[in-house]
Amino acid sequence: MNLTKQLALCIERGKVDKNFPFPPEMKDLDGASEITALLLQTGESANNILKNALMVGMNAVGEKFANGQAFIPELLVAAKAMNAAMVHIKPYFESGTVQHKGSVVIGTIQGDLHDIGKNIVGMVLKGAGWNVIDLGSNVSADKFITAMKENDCKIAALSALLTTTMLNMQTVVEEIKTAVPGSMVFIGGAPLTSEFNDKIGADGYFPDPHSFSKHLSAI
Amino acid sequence: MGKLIERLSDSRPILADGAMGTFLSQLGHDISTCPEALNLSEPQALSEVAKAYFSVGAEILQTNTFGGSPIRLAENNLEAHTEEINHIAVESVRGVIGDDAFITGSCGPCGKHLIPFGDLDPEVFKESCARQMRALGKGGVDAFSIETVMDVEEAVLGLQVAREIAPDIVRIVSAAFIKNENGIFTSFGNPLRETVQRFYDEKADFVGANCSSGIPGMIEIARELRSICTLPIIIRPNAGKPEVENGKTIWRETPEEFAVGVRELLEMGVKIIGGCCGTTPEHIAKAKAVFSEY
Repeated sequence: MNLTKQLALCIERGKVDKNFPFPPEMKDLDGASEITALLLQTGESANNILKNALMVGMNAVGEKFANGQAFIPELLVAAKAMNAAMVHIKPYFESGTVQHKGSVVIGTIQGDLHDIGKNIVGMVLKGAGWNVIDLGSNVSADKFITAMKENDCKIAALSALLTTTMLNMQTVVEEIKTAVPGSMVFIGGAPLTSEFNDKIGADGYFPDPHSFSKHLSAI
Repeated sequence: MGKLIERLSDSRPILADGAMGTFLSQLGHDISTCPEALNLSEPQALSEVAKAYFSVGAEILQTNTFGGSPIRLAENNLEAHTEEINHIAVESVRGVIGDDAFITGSCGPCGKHLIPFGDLDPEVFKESCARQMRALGKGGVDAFSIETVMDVEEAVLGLQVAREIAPDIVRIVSAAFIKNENGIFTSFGNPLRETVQRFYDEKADFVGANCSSGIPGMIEIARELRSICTLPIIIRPNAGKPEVENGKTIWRETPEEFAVGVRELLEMGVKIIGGCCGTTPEHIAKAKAVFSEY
């Protein structure tokens, strides 16, 4: 197997680095961190690594998740492996060697501290070539608006896990759209639906990070 | 009324209460950030909930401590109040029911993930769990309710801690199962059969399911549990799936629909039935009418 395919597999299976104990059948093998470094040393471009390995791996686990063949732990370790690879790749983005597709401001809605889903979305978007401005959890409308204005960004992605905090989304969507004309606000999180999206006037609900990423790239 | 364990050997089924969080919200309390903060600021709300369920015939009342572990409370800088929060939760219920019903101490997931998937050290988790359980035990709970289990490993550690610190307190464990085309799993991918086996090995007194589905889904899950499990079963469905109407979360399964499902669960031989998210004292009152025939 060539290095690119091997790296994609490390992302898909969540093999972070050589010492990482999971998955057991990949024990003592190089992980995402080592292989990414190696690929860069051999002259592979950051863009190609992203496109041909990291995104391939994330898509594979994302599809398994959507089909009920993978679960939260698999997403968590895949995100960890992705993070480990991004440590090596990040400098190339920041130096301007690679062009971003644009910026997305993301955060978990006010009153909600759950950030796993939001973090995974952030990772996938980064992997897909977006500049992700992650505001963390419990984020107010004001914080979203300030970050969007400061970064000249028109896209916001809001996350909520709780049926109680998802209700805060409507106000935040309205405030962002008023304060940042022409902006698009997307939503995601376990209790949400497309109907809810329509009801609160947001621009789209996505059940998984990959469908969201595909949608963003298409607009 | 004697000990819970004696009541359990009686052949009659046991009616538990309904939702805590969503019901508190319906009563007008703000639980959007940390429902357990209410135990400090408005403990009378807890008595109000207990009264509402006890007065319609619930025999098991749950504490408002789902997120009462220090790890979870730390998200709102309340970990220093762990003992107080859990203690008040038990006392508020006991003040209402005296010795005429039982109290289960709610222990939900801690919100962090164990290594290697997350960064939580199992020993740190066990210490957090022990601190909450000690406080609940001191308060006088009749059972620990490790509920809405998503990761079996976390629940297994919880059961071990419960056995270590309070072997005489009944251990109830129920998972939030989801059904997909490949079978029934927790959101961490633990298959139902394996989940039940692990709980059995860890000497749970009750196993079951709560949250994650309404009556129809829960009946399928209960049937599967019944077919493979020799332990007594607890089932606590949601009142359907949450929907939003006019800026409020609503749950569409009516008390009447709930009662029809309860009858089916009782026919299957489920030992404890109560409600989870979206259920109200009206749901439990309708269930009580069915219970009286069994």
